[in-house]
Amino acid sequence: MKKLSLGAFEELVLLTVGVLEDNAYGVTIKMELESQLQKTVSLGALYGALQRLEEKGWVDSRVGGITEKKGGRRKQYFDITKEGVAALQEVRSMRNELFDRIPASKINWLNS
Amino acid sequence: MSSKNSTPRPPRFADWLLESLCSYDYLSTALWDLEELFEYHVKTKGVIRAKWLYLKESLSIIYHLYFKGQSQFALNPIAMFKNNLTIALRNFNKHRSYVLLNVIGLAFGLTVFLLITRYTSYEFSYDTHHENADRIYRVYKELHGLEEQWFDAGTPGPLAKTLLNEFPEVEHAARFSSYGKQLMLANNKSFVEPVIHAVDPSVFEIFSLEILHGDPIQALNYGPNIAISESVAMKYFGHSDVVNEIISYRNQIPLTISAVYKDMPVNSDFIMDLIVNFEWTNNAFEQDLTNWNNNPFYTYILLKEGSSAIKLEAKLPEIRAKYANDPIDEDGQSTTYYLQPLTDVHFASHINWGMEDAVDASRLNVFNVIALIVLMMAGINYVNLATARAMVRVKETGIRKIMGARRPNLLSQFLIESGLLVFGSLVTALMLAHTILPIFAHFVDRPLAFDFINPIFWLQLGLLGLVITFASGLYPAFFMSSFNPLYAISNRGKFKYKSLLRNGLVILQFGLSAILILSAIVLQRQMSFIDTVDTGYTRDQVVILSTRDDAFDDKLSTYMEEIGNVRGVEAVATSWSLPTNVTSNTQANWPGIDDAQRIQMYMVGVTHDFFKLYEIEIKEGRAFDQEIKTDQSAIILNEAAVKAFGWDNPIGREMIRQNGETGTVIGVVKDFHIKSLKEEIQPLQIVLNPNYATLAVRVSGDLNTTMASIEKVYDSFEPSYPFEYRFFEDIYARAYAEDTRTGQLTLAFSFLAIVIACLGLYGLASHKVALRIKELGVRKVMGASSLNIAQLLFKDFLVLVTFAFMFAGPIAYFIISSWLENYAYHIDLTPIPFVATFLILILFAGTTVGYHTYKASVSNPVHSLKDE
Repeated sequence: MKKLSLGAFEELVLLTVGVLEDNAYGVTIKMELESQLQKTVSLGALYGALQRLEEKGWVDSRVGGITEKKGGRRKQYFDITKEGVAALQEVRSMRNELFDRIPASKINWLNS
Repeated sequence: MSSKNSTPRPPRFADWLLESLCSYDYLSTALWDLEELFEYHVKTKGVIRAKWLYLKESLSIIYHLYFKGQSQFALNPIAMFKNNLTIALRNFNKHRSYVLLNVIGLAFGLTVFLLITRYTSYEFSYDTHHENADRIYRVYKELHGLEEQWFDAGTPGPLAKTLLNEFPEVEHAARFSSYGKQLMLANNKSFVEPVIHAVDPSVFEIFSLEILHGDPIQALNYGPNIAISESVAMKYFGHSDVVNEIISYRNQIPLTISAVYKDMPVNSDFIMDLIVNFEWTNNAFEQDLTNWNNNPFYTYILLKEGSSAIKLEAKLPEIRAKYANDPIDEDGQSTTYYLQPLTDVHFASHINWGMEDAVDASRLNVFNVIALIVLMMAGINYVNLATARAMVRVKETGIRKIMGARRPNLLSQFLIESGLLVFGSLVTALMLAHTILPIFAHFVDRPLAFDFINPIFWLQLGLLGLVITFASGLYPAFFMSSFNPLYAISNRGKFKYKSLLRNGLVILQFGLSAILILSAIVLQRQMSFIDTVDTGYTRDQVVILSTRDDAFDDKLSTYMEEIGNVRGVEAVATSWSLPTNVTSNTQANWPGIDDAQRIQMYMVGVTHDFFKLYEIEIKEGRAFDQEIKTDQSAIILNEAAVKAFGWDNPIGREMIRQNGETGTVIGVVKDFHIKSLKEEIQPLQIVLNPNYATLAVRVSGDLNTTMASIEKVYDSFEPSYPFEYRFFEDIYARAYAEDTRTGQLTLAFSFLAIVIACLGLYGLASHKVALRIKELGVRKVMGASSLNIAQLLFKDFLVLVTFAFMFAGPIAYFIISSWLENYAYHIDLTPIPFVATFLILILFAGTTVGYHTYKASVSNPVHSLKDE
């Protein structure tokens, strides 16, 4: 497996693609991200991230919803791949491991 | 959109951008998402916001595409552009002299254009910085005389308030008056101020003056307060927070500083540095503020938004009729008020007595036209050189076509080339213009600078570059991409090309040069005529002394007497005004006059030595005499007056003077120019009267020692102002400075224009010779002499120049003679300037072409013929 390099934004996009299951395309991903992050996500940035994820093989894309409308625009759906899930898992476990090493006193500090 | 009910559409511009900048795959995905988002936004946020968001998203997509490393989805044009750029640069490298010729020509043209437009746009920017500039108007008046009418910026005291009370569309109205050269004492230092303005406090509502400290409206309401500009505050106190400090006016009246405001920009028709309250000062100076026939004030009004100045102007005669009891009206004079937009005030040179000198807008337009002409000539060079060179590039184009290049590809290739050339010239021109600007600014006497920080400046520059690129590059691009590739690559590429257009353009260039040169020559001659014309008075060694100091109020005659005793002083005299510019006027009147004879005449009051001082010649009778007491009421006329009255024997005739007393005519002076040379000499009456005087002396011998002695006399009167004097010669020159400047600028520009035209001609000539080199070789082999060859080549250009001159001559004649008409006294338009212009054209064109002609005629035909 290639060396893991997953940016924070890419990670969020990848997670969202996974969450949305069969209905992940530009607009839905954008909306989901925006409602989670409480801030605007531009399509340009989103496409960039999706493309990098596709290059790394963590998402697949398929085409659907071709219309007769001008320009024959099409809906591009994204699915998370096996490797994508693995990458998320790896990031998560790494995070968990690090989190677990935070001293208990600091965690309790939060609840005090 | 056809109707309001149709479904909202995303902005076309965004779609167009995406379509032209993104690859197909990328585009179709993006459009789906964008559209879906758009529909959603229309429902949730409204159409306008949805459109805006659509555009924003599109731009973000393009931004990420091009600048965030997804460029494999960017569309081809960018790659093509890079390719074309490389080709263009390689091409330039191969034809360096051609590029140089073009860049130099264009850069010259652009430099001139940049300089002139900087100057003219500076002039046109006057007073535009005021926030309400479009609603501010100056009130001026027209006076109807018996025969003529004239315009005057002076308005009566009660006008402003009346306008404000009578017309609801007037939001604010303010009066101005100004006091020149006043002495102010601040911080124990004294300063002579060139101008102090007395204003109504509403000035601060009308004009955009940025207050730094204090509250001007409150404080200027009434009383001994003063508002000053930041630079004055810095000058007086070294810092700007000086509210409540005291300044003494004329060392006597203490004024409290009520406000400090930011300096007014230099491109203002009037610049206020010290402002005092109008009512207060005018009451202090006992000015009558209620008199409708006393007009020393300026009135500015601010109209309410949306109200019409034209409609208001139409109602202005009513108030004059209602309020002013017009005693002058009985004499057939009346006054009409007009409104003038603030931004036009700077150009109102037909209105007398403005606060500042006005500028003739038509002169600026002439400069703009010259700038365009020079730029156009540079552009013509490009077209000519490019089309001429097309012959050389025929093969390149042909091969490209055969390799599959389509017309648009070729077009863009050639346009990129011209764009690059224009860019190079623009950069060169900018550097050149930036270097020359200080000299130019000094010459036109304006604080000009390029606004390099302003993005609009760069935008305009970019736009200019684009316009020139397309204007000069489009035709050559079409021309060069039009070749039939088969002909083009076959070695017989001898298809016909028409040189008609090129010759036409050369004729146009030289014609325009001819007009400029001719104008410059005539302008120069007229200016030197003005310098040397016999104005009827001397300006040599005449020095005008300043007498504004209170110390001389009642001691002027003693002062004059003492100066008169100084060694080297030939004559001392005062007059109401300088002989160059007599301004007082009255009506000719004598016992038994009939109304038809009541003409307007100018009037000047002088002291005895006036005629001696200015060396004005007495034609008949005698000058005023110290010994003859009755001369106090005597009158001297000029020849024009005698002629206008139709008198045969003027000496001894009685006239009624302005004050109603009768006076006898004792002499007639030879006509001297009492106004600018642009005007005919008007009837004039000269009387003895020392009041409101301009004090002048004529000195002989060493000027420095004489002036030093006069200064000693001056100082002995213990004045508060320093000694000041000016030379009459300088004042005279200044009156024609604008015309002289136009002459010199036109000369410089016409020189540049002809240089640019010659650059183009040089390129054309070299090309023409290159094309005919074989023909010339054959001719030589067949026995033609070098002289024959030279004649052959030279003839073409002689024909062109002659044609150019033939079309330019009449146009130039028309322009120049109508300009000369401005001057009542001017040179005659002789054939000499025309001949000179023609010779100059031949000389320049001949030298340019001559080099190539010479080279071609002496070349050995062996070289030109061997490679076939």
